[in-house]
Amino acid sequence: MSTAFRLCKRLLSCRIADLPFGAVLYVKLMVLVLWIEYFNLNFIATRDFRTAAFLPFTPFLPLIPLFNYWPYPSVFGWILGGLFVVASAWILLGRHFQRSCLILGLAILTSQMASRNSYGNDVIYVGLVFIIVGLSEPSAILVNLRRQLAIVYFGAAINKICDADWWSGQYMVAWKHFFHAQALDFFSANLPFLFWERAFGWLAILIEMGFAVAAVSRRPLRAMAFGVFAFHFALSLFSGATFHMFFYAMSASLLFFLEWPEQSRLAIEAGPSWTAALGRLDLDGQLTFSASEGKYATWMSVASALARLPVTYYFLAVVLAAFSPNWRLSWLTYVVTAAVLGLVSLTCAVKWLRLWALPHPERAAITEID
Amino acid sequence: MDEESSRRRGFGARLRHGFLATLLVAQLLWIFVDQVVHIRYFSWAALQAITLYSLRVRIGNQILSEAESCARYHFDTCGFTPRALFQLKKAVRDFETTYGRSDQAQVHLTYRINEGPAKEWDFPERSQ
Repeated sequence: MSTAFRLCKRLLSCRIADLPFGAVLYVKLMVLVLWIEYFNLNFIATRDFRTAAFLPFTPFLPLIPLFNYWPYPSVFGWILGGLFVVASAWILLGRHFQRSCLILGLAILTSQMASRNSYGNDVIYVGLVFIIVGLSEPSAILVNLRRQLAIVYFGAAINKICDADWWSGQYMVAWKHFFHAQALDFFSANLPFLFWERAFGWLAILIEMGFAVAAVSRRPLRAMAFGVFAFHFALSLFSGATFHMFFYAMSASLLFFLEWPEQSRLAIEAGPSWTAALGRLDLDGQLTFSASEGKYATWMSVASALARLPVTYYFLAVVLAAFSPNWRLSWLTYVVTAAVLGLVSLTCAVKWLRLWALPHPERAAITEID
Repeated sequence: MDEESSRRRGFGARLRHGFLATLLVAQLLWIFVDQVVHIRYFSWAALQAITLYSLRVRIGNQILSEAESCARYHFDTCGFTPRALFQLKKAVRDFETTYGRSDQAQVHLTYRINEGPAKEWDFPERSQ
């Protein structure tokens, strides 16, 4: 095995001691997206690595006035930037994982506190997630992350409930105008004044409150994972913007609700070439393939395997983040992703329907395998 | 020795647990407090309102260009933003009372929230 392959495997692998797989994958994805979204190649010309990231490392109009009295802003920037780079590298390499998460989370929050103009709920959320992963006991990480997500949705819902513009539809009028979504007018020709605008506002409040409740429910819900992704995907698709990290940070939270077993046994109906290709992508050795009993079609088992591989999520995050400045390309990516998601959903629906049609003992046996 | 180290670990774990619990509860409480104080930081009011705005900055007899104003405040001085209006005003007010105090700048902000009626705000603020 070559050194380059070993390094790649280490960078992409998400199996770290007792830590939950979904949380490690989320953290690594967010580090990647942070660097893609906030990386600035101009630092090669300026030769000042503090300008390498768009996240400000030098205090400017800080939220905490204390930073105004720090006598060496340049030293502050070097320390914060250095911590940011070292902690990111350690996280990707899986070394001192929890400590690195804590350091990176604190660096992000300090950067936000030191510069009010860069304040963003998305970056704050990611910083808090890093801190929670860094401080929680491994067994409590997912529970704490779900609580954090519930607070975010609860806050969003309460803020909307207390805002008259969300009830009257006035917010959606502005949203339609600024995000070029006038296509909605086509559907409202024979409907009462501001019907859709009001409906969307109320629906957003209902969905967010529903997510807040579901996030702290006792058992992880696959429907919640799918719902979170679909909601933010639709929001991003209709507004044509990812709002920096907002889309990635929120939609990747679906990983807090998926179960990642130590080993998944998958029945593969396809030939050995599929098994070999999927096995090569399975860097964490999660999948073991068994001979097919003819219950699943090829594409169903391949989709099921891909959904369990971190490589799929890395690929989606990198492609979407890299294309997001170009609206046409990102739109194309969104459409392709939506088609793939639709296919996977259809697969799941067909699978569930088939399972329900089977007698109980057989259903139990298949559910156990899957 | 083992007992001592496990007690220390236990204390560390309790400290971490307490810190996390405080972090989560404080956020929850702040969501309600912010409905009164309207600071809109840390209350998870993302994409809450869309504000169309334009800032005009005058120092002495000279009106700053868009690029000069942008360089002054480190944000675009016209366009639309999903940020809360309070945060815009606070950034201008804080800059003009700290870094830019010696310029004695006069700032005129016109804005519309969610396509509502046009409003104005000036710095230094006019006394009622």
